[in-house]
Amino acid sequence: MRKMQYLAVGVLILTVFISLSIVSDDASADIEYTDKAIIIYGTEVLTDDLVFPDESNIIISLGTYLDINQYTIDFGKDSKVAILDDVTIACTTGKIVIREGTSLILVGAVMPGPKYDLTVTFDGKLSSRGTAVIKGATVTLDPNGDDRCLHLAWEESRMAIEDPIINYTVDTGGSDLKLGFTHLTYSEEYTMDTDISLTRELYLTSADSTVSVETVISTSKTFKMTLDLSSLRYTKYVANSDMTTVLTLDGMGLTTVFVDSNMMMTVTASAKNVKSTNAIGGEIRRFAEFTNVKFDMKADITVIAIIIEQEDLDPSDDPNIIKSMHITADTGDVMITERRGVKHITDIAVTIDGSDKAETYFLATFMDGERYNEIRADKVLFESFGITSDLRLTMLMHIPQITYSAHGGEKQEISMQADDLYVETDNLAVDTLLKQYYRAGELTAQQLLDNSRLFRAAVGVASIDTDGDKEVDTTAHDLELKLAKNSRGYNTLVLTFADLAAPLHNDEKNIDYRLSFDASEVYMESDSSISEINDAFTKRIHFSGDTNAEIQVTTSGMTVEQIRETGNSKLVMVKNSPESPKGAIFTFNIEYLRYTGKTTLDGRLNTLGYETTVTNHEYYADPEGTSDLKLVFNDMSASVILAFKDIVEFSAEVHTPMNLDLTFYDLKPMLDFGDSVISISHGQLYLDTYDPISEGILAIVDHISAKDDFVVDLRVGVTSDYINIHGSDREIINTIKSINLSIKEIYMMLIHNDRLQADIDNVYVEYTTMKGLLVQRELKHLDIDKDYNNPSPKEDVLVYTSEIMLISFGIVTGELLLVLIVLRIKRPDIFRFGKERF
Amino acid sequence: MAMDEAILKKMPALCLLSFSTFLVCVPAAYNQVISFNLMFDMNCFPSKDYAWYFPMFIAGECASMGLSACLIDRYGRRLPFLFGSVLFIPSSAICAVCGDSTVFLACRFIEGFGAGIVIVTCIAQIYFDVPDKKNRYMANGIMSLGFGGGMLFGIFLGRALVETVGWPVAFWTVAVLQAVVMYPCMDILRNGENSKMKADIPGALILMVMAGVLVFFLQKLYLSWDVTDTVGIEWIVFLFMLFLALILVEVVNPQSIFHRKFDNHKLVAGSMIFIFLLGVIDMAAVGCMIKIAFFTYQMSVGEAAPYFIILVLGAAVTAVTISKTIDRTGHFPWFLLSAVLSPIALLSMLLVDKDDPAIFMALHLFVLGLAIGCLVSMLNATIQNRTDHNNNGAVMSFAIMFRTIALWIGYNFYTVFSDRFMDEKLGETMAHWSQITQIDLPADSNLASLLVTPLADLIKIFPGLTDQIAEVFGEGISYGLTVGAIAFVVIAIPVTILLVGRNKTL
Repeated sequence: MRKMQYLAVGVLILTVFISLSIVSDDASADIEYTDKAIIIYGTEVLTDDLVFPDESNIIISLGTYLDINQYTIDFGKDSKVAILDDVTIACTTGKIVIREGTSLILVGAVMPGPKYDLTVTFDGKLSSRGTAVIKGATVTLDPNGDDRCLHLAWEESRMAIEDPIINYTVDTGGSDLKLGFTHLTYSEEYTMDTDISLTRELYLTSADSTVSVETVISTSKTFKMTLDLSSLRYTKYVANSDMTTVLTLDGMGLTTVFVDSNMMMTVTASAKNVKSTNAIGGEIRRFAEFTNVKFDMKADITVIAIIIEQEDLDPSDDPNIIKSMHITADTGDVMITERRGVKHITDIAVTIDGSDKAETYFLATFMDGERYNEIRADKVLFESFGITSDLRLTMLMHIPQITYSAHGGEKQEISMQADDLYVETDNLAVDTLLKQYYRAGELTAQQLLDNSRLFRAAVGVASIDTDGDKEVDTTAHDLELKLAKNSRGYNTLVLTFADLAAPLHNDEKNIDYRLSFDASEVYMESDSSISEINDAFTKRIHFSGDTNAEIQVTTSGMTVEQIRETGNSKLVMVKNSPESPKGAIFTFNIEYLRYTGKTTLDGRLNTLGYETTVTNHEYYADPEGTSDLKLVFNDMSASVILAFKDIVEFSAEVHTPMNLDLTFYDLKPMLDFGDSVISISHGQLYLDTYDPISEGILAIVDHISAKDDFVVDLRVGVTSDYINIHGSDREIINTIKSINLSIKEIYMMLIHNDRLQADIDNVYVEYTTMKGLLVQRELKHLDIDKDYNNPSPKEDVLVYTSEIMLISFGIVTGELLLVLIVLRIKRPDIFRFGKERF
Repeated sequence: MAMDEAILKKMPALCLLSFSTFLVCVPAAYNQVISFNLMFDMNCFPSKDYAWYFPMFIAGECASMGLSACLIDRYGRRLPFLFGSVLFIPSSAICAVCGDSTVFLACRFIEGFGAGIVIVTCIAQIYFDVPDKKNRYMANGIMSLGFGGGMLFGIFLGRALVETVGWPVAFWTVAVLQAVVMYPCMDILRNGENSKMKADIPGALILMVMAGVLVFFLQKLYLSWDVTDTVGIEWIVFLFMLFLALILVEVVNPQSIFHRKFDNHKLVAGSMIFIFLLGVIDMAAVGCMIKIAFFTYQMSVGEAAPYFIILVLGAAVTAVTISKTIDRTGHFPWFLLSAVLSPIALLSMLLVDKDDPAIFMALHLFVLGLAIGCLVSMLNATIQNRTDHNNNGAVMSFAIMFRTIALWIGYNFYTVFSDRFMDEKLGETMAHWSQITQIDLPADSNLASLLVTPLADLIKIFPGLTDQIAEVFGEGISYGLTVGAIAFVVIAIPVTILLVGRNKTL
C-alpha cells in the first residue's frame, strides 16, 4: 500500500514540474488579483514570501518568469493552480509549497491535490519548453552551482532527482510521462504505531539519463511503466530491532510493468546481480546473491487494488494473485541461517503457473554442484480466503502435494513429499504481526496466537528419504500444530501426530539421532505467553509476569536412538500388554513467580502398562572392548521437581520394578530389582558456567555433559522388595530383600575438571540377607578426595623426618657400639650372662 | 599318679588362669578378618585405619610383655595382673562403645597392653602353683590352651559376632567376663615369693619399646614402607640402637635379668630358637589356614571351626603325651619329633584338594596340631624349669613376647609371601580389570580378604576371578608353608642336635 502512495506522490510531483513548464514567457509579468482568480504573468521577482489564501484559483500565464530567490511561494490549501504554458522559475534558497488538497490543472488534465504539504526546492532555473497537449512539455534544471538536484519533501520523506529532465505529453490516447535523471534518491523516516521507528532509502542510478522512467497511462485504462536503470539499492532499517534489510540490483536491464484494463499486471525485469541481506545488530542472519536474474510475472492485482482501496475482500474473490511467474538466475549464494552457512547454487529457475490447465502450479529447480534439485507443488488451493480492510486474514489453504527431490552428484539422493498440507488462519492480524516483526526482528508462536483466533498447520502425510535408498527415513502421518485460545481463554498449543519417525544429525558433535513415536500429543496450556515458555526451555528464562503453564505429553510408544562414533544409546517404550492404557503420560507444570524469581518445573510421569527399556552400547579403544547396558523399567511412575534460579534445586521420586543388565568388557552382571522406590530430595546443583536465566533449561544437559565445574548436594532414599544379583554367567550370586537405604547427604564438588571432592554423610542401610538375617548398618561419614590428573599423596611425617632421624639414630648407635666395645675390652666380666654376679 | 593328683588339685586354679588368658587373647584376632561393618561404624571406610586394628593389639601386647619382664618377679603376679586387667577391661568397654577410629586404635593398644600383662602373669604363676617340674609341662599345656585357644577362638568369635549381633557385644563380652574372673584370679596369684632383686626397669622399658616398635615397623613395612627406603633403614637402625641400648643396660646393671641365674644355657637357647620357630612358622601357619578356610574354601564360621578343633585336639595329644613321658624321654626326642613333624604338617597342606578339602585339611590341621603341641607347652616348661624366683617371670615374659613377635613376623611373612605370589599370578589380570573399571583393585591378599565382605558379590561378577583368587591365595600360602617347612628343618635339626642334648633332666 505504501508503494502505491509513493507512486501517487511521484505523479503529483511530476505534475508540478509540468505545470511549471507551461507558464508563458512574459517580460512584463505581475500578479493580478480578480474576483475569480489570481493571475501570474510576465516577470515576477519576489522580494518577500508570497502566500496565497486557501482555496485560491491561481492561473500562471504564458511566458511567466518567476524568480523566487530565497523566498517562499505558497499556493495555499485546497487551491486550484492552472498552468497555461511555458514558464521559467528561478530559485536559490527559496522554496515552492504545494499544500494539502491543492490540485494542478494542466492543459487536458487535472491532477488531484497531494495528501500532504509538498515543498520543492532547487538552486538554479527550472525551465520548460513546449506544451504538454501538442508536442509535449520538457522541463530541465539549469543549476547555479554544484547542487544539480531537484529536491522534494513531504512529511518525513525526501526525494532528490539529479539532472532532472521531464517530458510530459498528453493527447487523446492518454498521457506519456518521461523522467530522466542520473541518480534519484528517496528516503523516509517514520514511526509506526507510535513506537516502531523505520528508515527507508531508495537509491536509483539511471542507464539512460534522458529517459530513466517512462509512464504511459492510456484512456483505455492501461498503465505501462518502463524503467531504464543501471542499479537500484533499497535499504530498510528498524531501530527497535536494529534490523537492516538491504536489496541491491546491479546491471539492470529494461524493466517494464504493464497493467491492462482487467487489472492484469505483467512485469518483466532483469539484473546482472541481485543481492539481499538481512542483519540484526550488524550480524547477518540471512543472505542471498544471484547473478543474471530474469524475472517475468503475470498477476491479477484485483485483490491488491481492493486492499489499497481499503475494502473487505469477498471470499468469492480469487486470492491467487500470481497467474504466472518465471524467474531464472545463473548462480546464487544463499545463507538461510548462519549455522547452515552459505550454499552455492546454479541454474536457478522458479516457475509459477496459476492457470486452470496447469499441471504444476509451482516448480523451482536449481543445481547444487552436480546435484539437481527440484521443488514442486501441483496445486495451491484456497478453500476459503477472506481479508478485511484492516488486514485480518481468514483462510484455509490446501496444497495437495508438495515435493522436493535432489539427485545427481556425489551426495545421496533426497526425496521429500508432503501430502495434504493445510494452513489455516482465523482472523489473523497480518498488519499487527508485521509491526511486531519490525519491533523484535522475529515472530513468535505467541504472537501468532495473540493475533488470531486460530492458527493451524497440518500435514496428512510427510515422508523424507535422505539417504537415496528409495526407502523413507522420515515419516509423519496426520501431523498437526494448532495454536488457539481454549474455551477458558487460555493459550493452547497442541501438536499431534498419528506417528512420527525422523533421523536427526548434530554436525557439531557428529551424532545421529533416530526418533520414532507412535500416536502422540503435546498439549500446552497457559494463561501467559507460550513463546516465553518455549524460550524458557530452549533460549532463556524471561517471563514478563507470573506464569503457570501445564504441559502434557502423551504417547502410545516411542523409540529414541542416539548414534555416536563410540557407540549408541536407545530408549524404547512399548505397551507391555494389549490392555495397556492408550498412552504413557508425562505431565508437568512450569511455574514462574516474579517475587521469588524462581522457575519451577513440577513433573509427573506415568507409564503404567508400559515397558521402558534403556540400552547403551559403547566401544572403548584403550583397552579395546565394549559395554552394553540394558535397563528395563515396568509400570514406572515418577515425579520430579526442578527449580531454576542461581542454582538448580531438584527432587525426584521413581516407583518401579527394574532390571539392570550390563555387559562391560567380559563382565556381565545383572541386577533384578523388585518393586523399588528411589527418592532424591533436597537436591541442589550449581554448575559453574551454567546460567539458566540466559541459557534456558535444556542447556543444563550440555553443561553437565561438558563436565563443567559443579557442586551437587542431595539426599537419597532407596527401598526395594528385593535385589537379585546375578554373576557373569547369570547365576544368582546373592539376593537381598526388604532393602531400605537412606543417605542424609551426598555432597560432590568438581573443580577445574581435575579434583573431585565427595562427602557422604549418615548412610543407613537395612536389608535381609538370603539366609533371612536382618542387617542394619550405618555409615556416619565418608570422604572421597580424588585427584584425577596429578595425585599428590600427603607425605607421612615419619617419612618426612626420616633422614634427620636416621642420622641421629646412627650417631647414637655408633656411640653405644663404641661404649660396648670399650666395656667389653675393659670389663669382660660383666658380659658373662646367666650367672648371678652378687 | 602322684603327679596327676598334684596337677588335679591345682587344676581349677590353672583353668581359671587359663580362662583369663583365653579371655584376653580372644579380642586379639577379632579384626584379623576384615569387617566392613566395623569400618563403617568407626567411620574409617575406606581408609587404611582398619589395617591397624589387629597390629595395635599385638604391639600393645608385645610391649607390655617386655615391660612385665621387670615387674612380676619384683612385685609379684597379683599387682601386675590387676594392672593388666584394669587396662584391659575399660579399654575393651571403650572399644565396645566408641565410634571413632583413632580412639578405637588407642584402646586396642591399651587392650593389648593389658592382655599381655595378664597372659604373662598367668603363665608365670605356674612356677609357684606347680612346683613339680614335670607337672609344669601339663600346666603349661593348659595355659597354652588358653593362649592359643583364645587367639584361635577370637578369629571365629570375632567374625561370628561382628557380622551378626555386632562388634560391641564381642568387646563387652570379654570385658565383663574378665571383670568377673579378675578377683578369683588375683586370689590365686597371691601364691608365690617376690624376688629381692631390684627390678630391671631400664632393660624392661627398652624391651617394651623395642617390642612395640618392631610390631609397628613390621606392619608399616607391610602396608607402605620398604626396607631399602630411608625410613625403613631409619627404623632398622633405631631398633638396632635399642638393641644395643638393651645390651648396654643389661651389661652394666649387675642385677639385670641377663645377670640372673639360668640352668643349662644351651637348652634355654635352643628352646628360645624353637619358640621362635614355633611362632614364626607353625602358629603363624594356623592364622593362614584360617584365612584359607574362609577365602579359598569359602567356609562359614560353623564350617571352619571343626577343622580347627581338630588342630587343638592334635596339639592336646602331643602336649599330654609329652607331659606324661617327658621325665623318661627327656627333651631331645620331642624336639627331634617336632623338627620332623612340623615340616610334614606344613607340607601336607599341598595335599589338600581344592575341590574337596575336607579329609586332607582335617589331616593337615591335625598333624599341624601335633607339631604345635610338641612345642607349645614343652618349651615354656623347659624354660620355666631353668629359672628361679628371681628371673622366672622375666624369662617367661620374654619367651611369650618372643613367641608373640615371632607369630607376628611369621604372619607377616606368610602374608607377604602370598601377596608376592598373588601379585605374580594375578597382577596382570587385576591390572587389566583395574584399567577397565578405573578402580585401583589390589592383587594381593587384600583382594582375597574381600571375599569375606559384602564386596564378594562384586568380585563374583568378574568371571572366574573368585575361584582364581581363592586358588592363587591358597597356592601362595602353600608355597609359603613349603618355605617354612624347609626353614624349620634347616634350623631345627642342628639346634636340636647342638643345643638340646640328650640330658633327661627336667
